[in-house]
Amino acid sequence: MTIAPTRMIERTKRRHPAAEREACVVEVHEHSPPTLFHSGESFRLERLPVGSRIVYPPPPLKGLVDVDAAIATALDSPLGMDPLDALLRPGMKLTIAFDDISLPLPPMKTPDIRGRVIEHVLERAYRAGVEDIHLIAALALHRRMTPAELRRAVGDRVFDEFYPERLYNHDAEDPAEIVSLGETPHGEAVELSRRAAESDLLVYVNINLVTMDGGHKSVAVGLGTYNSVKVHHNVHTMRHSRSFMDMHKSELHQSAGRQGEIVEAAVPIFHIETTLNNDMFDGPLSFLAKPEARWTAREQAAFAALKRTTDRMNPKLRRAAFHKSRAPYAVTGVTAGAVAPVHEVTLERCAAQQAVGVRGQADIVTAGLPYVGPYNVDSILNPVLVMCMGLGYFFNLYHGVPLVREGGVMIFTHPVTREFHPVHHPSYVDFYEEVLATTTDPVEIEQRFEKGYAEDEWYRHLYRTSYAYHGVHPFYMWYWGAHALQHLGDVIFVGGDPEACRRLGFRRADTMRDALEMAEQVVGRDPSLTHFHCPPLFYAQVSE
Amino acid sequence: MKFASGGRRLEKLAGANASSARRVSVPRRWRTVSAGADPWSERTVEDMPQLRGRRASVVREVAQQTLLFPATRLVASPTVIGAEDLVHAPQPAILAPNHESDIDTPLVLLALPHAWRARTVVGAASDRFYRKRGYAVASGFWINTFPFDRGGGQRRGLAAAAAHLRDGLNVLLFPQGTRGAGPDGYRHGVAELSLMAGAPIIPVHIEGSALVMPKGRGLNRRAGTRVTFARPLQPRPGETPEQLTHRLHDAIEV
Repeated sequence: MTIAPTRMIERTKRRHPAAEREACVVEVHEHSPPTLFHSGESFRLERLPVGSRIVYPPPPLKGLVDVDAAIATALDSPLGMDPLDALLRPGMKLTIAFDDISLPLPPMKTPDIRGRVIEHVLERAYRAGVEDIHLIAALALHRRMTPAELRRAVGDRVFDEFYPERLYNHDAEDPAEIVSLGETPHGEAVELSRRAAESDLLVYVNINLVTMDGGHKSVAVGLGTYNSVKVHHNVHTMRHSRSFMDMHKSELHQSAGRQGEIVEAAVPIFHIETTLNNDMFDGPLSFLAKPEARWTAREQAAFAALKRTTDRMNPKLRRAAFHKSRAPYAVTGVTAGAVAPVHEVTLERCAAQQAVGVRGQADIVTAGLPYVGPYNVDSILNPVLVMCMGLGYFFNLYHGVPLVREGGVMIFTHPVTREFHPVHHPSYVDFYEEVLATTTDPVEIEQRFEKGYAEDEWYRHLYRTSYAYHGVHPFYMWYWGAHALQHLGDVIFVGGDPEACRRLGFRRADTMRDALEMAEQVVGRDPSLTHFHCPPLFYAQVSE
Repeated sequence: MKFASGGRRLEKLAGANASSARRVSVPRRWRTVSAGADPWSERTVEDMPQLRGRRASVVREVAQQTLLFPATRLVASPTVIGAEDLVHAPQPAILAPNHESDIDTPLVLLALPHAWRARTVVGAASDRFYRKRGYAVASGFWINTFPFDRGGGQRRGLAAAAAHLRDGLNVLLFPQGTRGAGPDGYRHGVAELSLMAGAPIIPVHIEGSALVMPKGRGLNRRAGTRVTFARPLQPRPGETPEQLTHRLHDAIEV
């Protein structure tokens, strides 16, 4: 990418990177090697039927040569707004909000791009004589970030100066710190952090890992409350977001957009969006992102060692080792300015890295679920999160139409162990034991159980004072998968724990062959199969 | 369905996929639940007096000082209180600590002065320590045990302990009879023995060992422990075992 000011980018001629990526879709032939499947904190090699398609992620783009220069350029020539320096004046109230621990995945190596951008903004603020500056982690109903995580995100210098009085986590359940901004024309409540709403300027620093992130969703959701989030985090919206990775066809984003307009009317937002490439695996493991057929002998040996080690490792140590890994992401773009035009450029940058064109849907789609999702950084991917990961995220990583046809089958590999992080996911345990034991139907769950969990005093207390996700969070995880549950004929977990899979309402198989046999009963003989070879993250632009 | 068959080398190198079902650990011996005492829990290995011989005692002392006690200090870092006063206590006596963990015995032995330790035998539950010969030899060698038959109403264990007292040896017995019985779990056996043999009881309080090696968990974590020796309790004439147990309980727990 270029470090030229974004204004200078030729905006008329649009590239369609997805269409250029035919090499990323590979057909399995008789002599194809076995295919890598992630399966939680281990790996599997599976043989796919001859004639199946494998969709690989595009190779990582080159990062910006001079990130600091790119940040400076973005701040000096924003889209649809005056330069940042012109917006800053002495005596003003400045709030900087930034994305929380759920981005990027896995956490990037230091320096974190958020910290770098924040340093630039602070430098300009100090130069302009701004003194009243607060930094807020926009975590909505996620768990609070620990001091160490905040330090990692914003960098040592900023942390030492601002923590804890002026650098803190957003608290969506603090009645004194929440202000209502009214309603959208569709009757959606808009509530926001008081500090952000009453600022003279709100700067938002974002990391746009997938096309779902960013835009109006950043501020309206990140600094919102249960009341403002529930208007779009519900079964109806999710079922009408096709998919929520495609902003223009997503009911979720339309709703968040309407809220964002209300917020923008109340407080000027200077939005800074950054994009990363998909360089997720560090150094010697970088081959995990490549097609298996391109692995060299040395890489094959490395994989064998890795697989044999992870298979034999003590599960606790293995989890610790996996969660210690940091991704060597490179920054591919920084854009600043008004929310809408900035996000448009960001989506193009995401597409340049992530879009892969795929022709036609498949009867069966297979995918290996990795160890980490947005909600279990340094934590445990519990069964509810596994469901969200598979049916919420992997299923929805498409533009156009889903990769799997209506009534088709998705096959995942994951051990689906019944394990929960006691600190991070207290309400998940009860959701699994109480709600899922009763029903797995999202609509019924929403009607019967959501309110009780959302207003539970104990969960509220844990969310505010400990490091727990909000009581309602497991419900949202289940809603993420609502569209997939409606769309799919069956879901099979290869290697899944029998009890946990049954509780989630899915089937399980011991081997991929068994799973394919089971899937054939649903979709018919000789089905078409597509393997979604993620991670690294990408999305399929599927044309019918 | 025809499957891809290339990349044999990779598959061979990487090995089979991890077995998907939860790995079921098969117990070496199936646990049986039965009402009353387990009729199969009778001991099969007899007492080994040769391990209490002079030469064996010297080897044991060396082994304890070089291996057992350093290891115990490493995981349990004990603080010992009142061991020096044992010099004035009458021997033979019954040492009666509370029992939370398997590490209690090494802790008490470590805390005892050499003059006491050299003449102390440990009552080990025969249904646990004397079922297998290897286990019996190991416990007899390392902590100088004799088989103590629990329960059954026949007082066989008490009789064996009384014989050792008669021979002039101190006997270490846990009045609760098992680990983790709690402060309400004191049984009357030790008091009966004391009344029967006329031997004083030395109450010992062990604190913190439950964290180091909880029942059924093996070595859990390192933690600090404290071993406190109280004043000897002399059985009073006409005292019932219940009354003596009550005094013993108060001396240990209060």
